[in-house]
Amino acid sequence: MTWILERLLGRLPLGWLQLINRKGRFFSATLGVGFAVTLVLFQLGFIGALSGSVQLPYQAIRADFILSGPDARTLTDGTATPRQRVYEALSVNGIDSASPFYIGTAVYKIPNGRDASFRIFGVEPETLATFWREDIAQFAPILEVARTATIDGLTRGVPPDFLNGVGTGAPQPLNLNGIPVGLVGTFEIGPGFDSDGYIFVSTRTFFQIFPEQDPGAPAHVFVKVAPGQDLLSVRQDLEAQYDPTETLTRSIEEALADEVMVQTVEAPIGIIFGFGAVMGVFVGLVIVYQVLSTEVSDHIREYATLKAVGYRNRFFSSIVLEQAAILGICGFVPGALLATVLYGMISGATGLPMVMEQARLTNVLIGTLVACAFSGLLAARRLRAAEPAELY
Amino acid sequence: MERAIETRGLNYAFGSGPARTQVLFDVDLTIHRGEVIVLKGASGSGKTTLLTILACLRDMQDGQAMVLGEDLVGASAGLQVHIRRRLGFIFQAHNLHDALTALQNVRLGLELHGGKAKAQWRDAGEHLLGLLGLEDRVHYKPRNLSGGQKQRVAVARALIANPDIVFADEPTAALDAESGRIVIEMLKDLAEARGTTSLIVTHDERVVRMASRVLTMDQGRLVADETAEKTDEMEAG
Ligand SMILES: Nc1ncnc2c1ncn2[C@@H]1O[C@H](COP(=O)(O)OP(=O)(O)OP(=O)(O)O)[C@@H](O)[C@H]1O
Ligand SMILES: [Mg+2]
Repeated sequence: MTWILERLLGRLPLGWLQLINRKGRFFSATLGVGFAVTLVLFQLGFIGALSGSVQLPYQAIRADFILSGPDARTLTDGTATPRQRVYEALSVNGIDSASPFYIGTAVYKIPNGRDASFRIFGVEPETLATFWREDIAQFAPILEVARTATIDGLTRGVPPDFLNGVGTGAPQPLNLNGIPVGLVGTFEIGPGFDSDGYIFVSTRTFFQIFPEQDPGAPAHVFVKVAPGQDLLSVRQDLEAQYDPTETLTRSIEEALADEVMVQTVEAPIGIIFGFGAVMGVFVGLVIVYQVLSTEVSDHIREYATLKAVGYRNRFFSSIVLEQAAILGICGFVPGALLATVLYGMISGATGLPMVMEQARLTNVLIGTLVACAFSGLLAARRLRAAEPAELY
Repeated sequence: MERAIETRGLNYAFGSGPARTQVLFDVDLTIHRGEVIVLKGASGSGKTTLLTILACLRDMQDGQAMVLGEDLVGASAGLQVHIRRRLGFIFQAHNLHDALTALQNVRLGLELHGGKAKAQWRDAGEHLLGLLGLEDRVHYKPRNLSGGQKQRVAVARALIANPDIVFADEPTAALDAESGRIVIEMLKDLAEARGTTSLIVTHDERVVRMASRVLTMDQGRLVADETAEKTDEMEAG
């Protein structure tokens, strides 16, 4: 290692040699940086999983536009949309179809399992093929039958044998708000932070499960533009139909971007993870600064001696930066490994999409090195105390 | 004969206002290349202060001073560093890097100087440590060396880059009589072989006896300048 660094730096790797001379301090500093890296990666992983899981249902939607209440920034919050938007939209030239979309939440105690919280989507079976991905739309005919439902095959916390039976024989019974429904098929979306899985039912079944919901006030209205039409001009015509302060027109991408923004930046959960990441950076900065400035103070007489002989500040700064880079890299490697293991454990346990992305690793590595360099430069300010005239 | 150091009317004071204390008064001094000079005097007489000014570790205040042909009056920080790179420093404390071996510490004295000298640090360092009686301690770290051995490593570090002037403050304080003698002999050999000048502050009578010239300071003034007879002959020859 010393040999490699010597070739790399073109000088005696003094910073490295000093670090390994105090093995205990070096070890705990590395541990501290590693911990900070794990913390940051962990929080970023959560934010990534959060935004990833938010995207999952959107990826199944095939609508061109989604009409929502003016304050609706996620699928589930905000004012409902008047159902008459469906007819208004259909009156616009170039619009092929429009359909109301209802959302409810129900908890079901799975046999031999825990309580699972389901997000229930109420849809018109006849427009399912227009507005939803094929694996969901294929069940349109069977959803027409009263009290049938399809369920997310990736639902979290459900015993595998419970889902395996679905779609193979008789409908698997399930109780939603006291209403028995039969599960007739599975599709794949994946669990989110606030629900364990998704269930699709027809609007008719939906209002049996949620009698308190108003059929005249769907959560959103989906709109599909006829093939070959210009999306932009149709959108303008559509927006001209109603007061923009009462109804939002967004593409699916825009709606998704809004929701990701809300969940990862504005919602408490996103703020907590973001704060955790900031804490990690802060902890890392403080540890590295502490270690490096102690290193400088401990060697101040030696540095003053070198200063007397004619070494310049640049040399000393490069030693501190050398130490900063070593701490950064030696902390990053175990920190990133630990985080990767934790990602695997968490996504295994929760079904959340916690994946260690190459770009995230690279960014955190760069961030670690920049933060270490920053701390190092701060610590290097102490070198000014090296006063060679005081040595004699 | 070429002059290594020359001062005229050198004054120096610490502090300012009412706290101002002048510690050097009208120091006139000429030191030629190849001289091995001892500077002695009572504690507080200003020896160290004079040394640090001549070694470009303190800025000049008043008077004239030339070191290695460079004018110290108003010398920029850059010029000071340039001069210091041609000097050797032996401090009372060894100030070795505890993380480095004896040889690596010596190498630091050379690292600054590029080219051939730097490339040959290993041979040169081992040779020099050998001359100082440390051939079997080359790869020891300071914590495994005695005080005298550490001081000898510091001497090797000061000499490895072939300085033109060596400034030493009580270099033999930590050394036994024999190592002290070896160090001073080495400085004298260098003076003869390379014209290296040495200015050694010491109270050690054994060192005083070995010097070619002895300067005495008292209360900030140079009060005596004696040349040993033996070296007188050498200079005449
Ligand atoms: N940094 C300083 N600030 C103020 N006064 C100082 C400083 N350094 C030295 N002095 C004063 O200057 C005078 C000369 O000090 P100096 O260190 O040069 O003496 P010295 O001859 O080397 O003494 P010693 O033999 O004890 O080392 C002393 O009176 C000392 O108190
Ligand atoms: Mg002194």
